[in-house]
Amino acid sequence: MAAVMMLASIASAAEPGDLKPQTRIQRRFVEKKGRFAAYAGFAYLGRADYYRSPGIEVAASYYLLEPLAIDLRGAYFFSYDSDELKDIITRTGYTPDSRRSRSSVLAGVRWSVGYAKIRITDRIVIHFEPQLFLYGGIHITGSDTDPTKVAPLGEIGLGFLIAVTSRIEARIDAGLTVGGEQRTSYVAVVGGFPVVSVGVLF
Amino acid sequence: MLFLAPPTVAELVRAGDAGGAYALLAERIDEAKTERGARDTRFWADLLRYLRCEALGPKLAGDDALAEGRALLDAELLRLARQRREERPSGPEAWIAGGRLSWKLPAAPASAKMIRWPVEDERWSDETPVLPAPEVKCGRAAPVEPKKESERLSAEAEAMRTLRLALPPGTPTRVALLLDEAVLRARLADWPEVWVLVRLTDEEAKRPGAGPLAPSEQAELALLAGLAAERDGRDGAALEQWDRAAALPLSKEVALFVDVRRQRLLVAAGRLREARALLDRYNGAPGDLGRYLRYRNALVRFQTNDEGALLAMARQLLGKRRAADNAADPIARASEELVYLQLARHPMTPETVEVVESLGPPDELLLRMEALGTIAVERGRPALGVQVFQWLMARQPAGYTRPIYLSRLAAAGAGADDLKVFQESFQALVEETLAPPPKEKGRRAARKKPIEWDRQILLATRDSVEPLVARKRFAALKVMVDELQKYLRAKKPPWPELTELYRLASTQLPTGPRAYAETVGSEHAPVWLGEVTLDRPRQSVPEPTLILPRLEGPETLVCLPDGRGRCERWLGPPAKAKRERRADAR
Repeated sequence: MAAVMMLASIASAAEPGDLKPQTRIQRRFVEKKGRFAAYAGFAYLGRADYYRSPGIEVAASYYLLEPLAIDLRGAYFFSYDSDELKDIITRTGYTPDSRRSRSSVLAGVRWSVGYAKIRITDRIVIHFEPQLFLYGGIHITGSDTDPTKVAPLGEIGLGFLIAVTSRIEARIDAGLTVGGEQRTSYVAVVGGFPVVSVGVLF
Repeated sequence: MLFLAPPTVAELVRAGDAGGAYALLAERIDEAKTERGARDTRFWADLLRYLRCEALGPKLAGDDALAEGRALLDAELLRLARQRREERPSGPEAWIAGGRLSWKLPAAPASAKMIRWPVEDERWSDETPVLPAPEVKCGRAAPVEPKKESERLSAEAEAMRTLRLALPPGTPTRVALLLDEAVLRARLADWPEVWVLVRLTDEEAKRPGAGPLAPSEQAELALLAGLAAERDGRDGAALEQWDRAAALPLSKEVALFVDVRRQRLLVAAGRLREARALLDRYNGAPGDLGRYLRYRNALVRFQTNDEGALLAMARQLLGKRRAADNAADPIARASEELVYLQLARHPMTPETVEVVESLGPPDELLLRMEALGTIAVERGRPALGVQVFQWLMARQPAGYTRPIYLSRLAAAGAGADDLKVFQESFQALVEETLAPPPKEKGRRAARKKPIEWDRQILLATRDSVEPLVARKRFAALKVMVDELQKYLRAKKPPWPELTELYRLASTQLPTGPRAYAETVGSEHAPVWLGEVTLDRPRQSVPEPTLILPRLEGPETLVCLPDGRGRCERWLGPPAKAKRERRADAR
């Protein structure tokens, strides 16, 4: 009897919690750490300045860490008068004190805050990283009639870095800019700065 | 093209890669290739828990190989707990310490390149589970219940018995269970039960499919069987078991234990050639045990009449020490006796004296010759006794030894039928005892003869009466009776036995009133056979007490299902070198 009890006492009744994974890992679709990338794409700088400012942008990135890159961006804008401005000039003859955007040069960092994947079809999965970015730089304004002016420009925003292939990436950025501008008086100008670009990793 | 199938959990366990087996089993569960609650999954999960000294999961019901293997894990944990209490690593603890079992999990890929996903039920095909390293509790001190060790052992033995009875005969692990039970019973000093169990183990081991027992387990079984047989008074059976054990690879300590017992039984059984071969291996053994075994070797040499080797060993054992030292040492006493018995096998030659001289300090040569002569007289070689005591008398005719030499000469002469020597010596002994001592100037009274003279008359009479009467040497007997009469009339003897011996001798004379009156109708005198040599030494040397080698029981009680309905015994992963060779081959 004692023997049976002894054997019975050994077996623990509780179901052990072993043999369960702690986490799951997946190899990144693209490994960026220590690599350069160059991007080119379309941008639009929208400010309350009576101008339409579509443009092109080029950027160079260096990935210090897998989720962290330092960036240098340059944009050139093909600014033209908005319909509202044309209408005001025609009716009143007044011209605005805001200045036409010509280009911007920004430097900053981008931080991948996560990693995501979407199953598109049975065979296609898109991997992407939501990113936050912060830039500082200059905003150049002017036109044939206005003298060129340079003013500071800062940008903060949210982007998505989409891995198309192991070397080609697309970036969709939605930035919010804050810059200074000498109008009748010196004012802060807030704007939106969406960019869509395609890049190559080296 | 050659395709290598990935190893299974069972193969990884057998190879000692517990970490790999754990990872593979967890992956299979994670990938839903097997169910966590499936019987085989539960068995392997519990086996892996046992291999890291962890508590097991719930029991497996049923009577298949999986249930059998699972039940044995319970028994194995009991065994493991005992080994732990005794601070002796066993099972997985020993395998881990010996590098035979590894709990290293397969290396996870470098984390910087990896995305880590929290665990959820959804599985993506490109994700790999990462397992936390399981806690390996082997080698840690386990809490011990306050209980008497004998109670624990008794309960463990009963548990083994219960499990053994539940398994059908011929089950591979049953033989190991029997051995374990026998070891536990031996520890409880229940030797009759051990004797029964070792015979059951032998029977079980012969069944097809039983076992196997590892060489160390076979040795332990033979050891138990030998001890149980000895305690049961079965020397023949014990010797068989010691022979069996000696043929197995034993540790030095166990081999010594077996050999000490085996040589004793070999000598007793008259298998002297084997005993000599065994004992020759210990000629250089140190310490008291080594000396004892050299003495046993000398005894075997004596019994095989190998005089040269016997003398060489005896010289080594005696070490030229003084007689007083030898007297306090049983091995020296017994070795000396062996030499004298050996020398007593042939007549005295100058070489005999040289041999005796070589045994100790030169100034004690006469003492040793006297011992040789005494043995010759007392052990049936009186002719040699006559030679030895004549030699002694020639070298030391006077002094305190004279009555001793005369007495021994008389006894030796009577025994060897050398009546001239007997008569001269006996007469000289009595006459000199009765002769008044010479007066010394300046002393008031003459010194009395030492009492040793009287004692030697008694001893000479005692040792001479029987051969003289048996051989009907009445003339010599008459001389003895006359001399004793003279002595008894002259003084009252210190020992009344002498008067009785005198009367006995006088009744044996064919003439005279006492002879007729006291011998009419009595039995005939015994027949005297003459010289015999008694080879059996009388000095006994106690066998040194050897500590019983630690009985550990089977290496393990674990079995692994073979997939064909049987749970085969598993003696643990292969040794490290073997594992490395196997890995290289892969």
